[in-house]
Amino acid sequence: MNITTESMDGDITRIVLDGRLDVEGAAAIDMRMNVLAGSARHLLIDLRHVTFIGSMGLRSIVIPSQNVRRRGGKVALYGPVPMVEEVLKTSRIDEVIPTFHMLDDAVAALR
Amino acid sequence: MAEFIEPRPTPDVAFAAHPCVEVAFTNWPRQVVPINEVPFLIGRGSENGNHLALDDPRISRKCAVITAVPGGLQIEDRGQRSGIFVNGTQINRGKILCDGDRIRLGAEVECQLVFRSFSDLRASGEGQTRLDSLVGPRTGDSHFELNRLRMLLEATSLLHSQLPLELILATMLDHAITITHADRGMLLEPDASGVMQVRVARGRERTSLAPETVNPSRTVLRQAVEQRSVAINKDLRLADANLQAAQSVVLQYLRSAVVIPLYSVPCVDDAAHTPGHDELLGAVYLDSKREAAFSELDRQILDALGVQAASILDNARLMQHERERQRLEQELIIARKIQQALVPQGLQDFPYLEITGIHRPCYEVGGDYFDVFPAADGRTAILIADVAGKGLGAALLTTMLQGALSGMSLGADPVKVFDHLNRFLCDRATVGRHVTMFFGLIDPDGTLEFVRGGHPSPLLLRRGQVRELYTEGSFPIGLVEQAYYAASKIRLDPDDTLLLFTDGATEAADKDRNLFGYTALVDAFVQHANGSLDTLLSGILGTLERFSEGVRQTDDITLLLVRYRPSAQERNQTAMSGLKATS
Repeated sequence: MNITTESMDGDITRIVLDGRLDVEGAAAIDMRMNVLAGSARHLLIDLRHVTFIGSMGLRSIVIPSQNVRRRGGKVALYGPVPMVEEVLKTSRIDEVIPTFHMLDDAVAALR
Repeated sequence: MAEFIEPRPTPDVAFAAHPCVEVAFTNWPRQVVPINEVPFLIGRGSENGNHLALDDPRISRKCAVITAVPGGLQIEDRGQRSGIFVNGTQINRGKILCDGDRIRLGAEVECQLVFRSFSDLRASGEGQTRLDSLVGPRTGDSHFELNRLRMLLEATSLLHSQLPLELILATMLDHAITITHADRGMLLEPDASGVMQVRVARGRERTSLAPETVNPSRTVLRQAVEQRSVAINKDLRLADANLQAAQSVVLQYLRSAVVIPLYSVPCVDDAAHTPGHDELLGAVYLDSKREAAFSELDRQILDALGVQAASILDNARLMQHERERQRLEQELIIARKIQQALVPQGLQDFPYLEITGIHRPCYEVGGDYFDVFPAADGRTAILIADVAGKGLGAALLTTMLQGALSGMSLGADPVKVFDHLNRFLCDRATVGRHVTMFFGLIDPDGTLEFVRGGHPSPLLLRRGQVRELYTEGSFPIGLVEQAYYAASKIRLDPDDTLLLFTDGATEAADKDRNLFGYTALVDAFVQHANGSLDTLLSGILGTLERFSEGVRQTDDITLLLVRYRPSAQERNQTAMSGLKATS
């Protein structure tokens, strides 16, 4: 599980996740995600390279996102593969955190 | 390896061979006096010209004299009350002394001297002779040293037995005391803040000392740890003010100490090991009433002792970790038994339903569970839950959930219970887990009322066709505080079969990490439907096992099968109530 970040215009921090977000994958990114959630204004979570997401993986996306929103920031999920999107829909997380397949749409939602 | 010596004037005479007498009075500090000139006078008080002045009322002013004769040095009685004894025999005239002879002055066995034919000694700059070290001629005495090493090996071999750790450490100290002729021995270990604490303390003759009373010299300990090697202190009176101030009679007589720091022996294949950064395991501390009791002659022995003691301590710790692991394993077995005991019993006894299920955790205990219990209004509650994560942490949460949900057998509204649980877990986010759950209440008339919490839909098998109870999503419990829940209803027909499952079934993996998948589960369900529920369950499990071919699964697998099968009487009652409702 890899995690990289980049700053984008509009005070947006883009987090690019790469790998399987199973129990081990979640444990690998949790600390970093929480630190980012504590400092970033808006979050764009790039899920295009996440091939699997389990319930702990879902948690490691949702909990930091909630923290950013609690501080008045916005969060968008971008590019989930069908398996990941299915999990987001099953748990109705797509209703709580807007999910996009086009980068421009995701960025626009954060501005 | 550097030796620590208290600052003192540089000796102008280094090492010279001299005979000497060792004062071995009971309750006196051990003291060694060289025989620098003959005749060498022994007696009470120095004003009588005595070379060895013994301030003890039991000793006569003119006690004994040592003179040189052709055969060597000879001792003669000068008028000691009750006489002079050598090795237990009273001397009448002169007696030529041999190395190690024990000279008793008078009738009291406590007043003894030991004659040494030679020793290493140093003289100080002021001309005051001071003997720094004397332990007896050991170099070259291979039997003596072999014996010591044999004792060390014996101590090490104790590890192969199942003795308690404290006993092993005490035995190791007893050997160290015997080897070094120390009066006391202690094993110290650093506590959480790195301060050395006495763990075991022993005296001579295998006596146990209370660790809180032994009061080792912190100065010498610090030296040993700082220089990462053996530290010898020849005169503690110069080193430690706290020892001088100590009230204990034993402590007042302590004269010298040696500290051997113990480091873990690095593993050859330990890639992370950095030379010079071996872990400090602790220290062996030995002290003696004799000054300079631990001479340089002992250095090889001390080194060997250090290596042996370190490996004993290292092994003992490994053993302790192993025991700890076994204890934890035992606790997990207990947890597993408790979890198994919480699995609902008497599934075959529910009216109008056939029920069977299995919970197969991937670890000792699991985060999945199912439950079936009678609700207050005559319906039967069925539920399946999957706590995020695995193992003991998830299992702890399942027991909490089971307790909370069993409240519904008293008539609580399941939607309110879901809301409550969601708030409960969101408020306690540090629990770090949420749950997906399906909860259903089946009426004898076949009405199934259910609440879903982010759980995959159970599969409904009706006349050979499988369908889902729902396709829309729902919130897991304890993930987001905005979550809300609602109840839905469907009507079961007689012989309808529900399969409740957790994602451990659909996400079971084969050796190439392919997932079993939803479609395969549906197929297995249909394929084995024409039999008893137990046949159906074992058919689905068999298909899963063939797919994963012995690959160890990384998630719990839980399956619950429920078939609605009202008796003829129940069907009639249902039909009657249906007629009433429509009329």
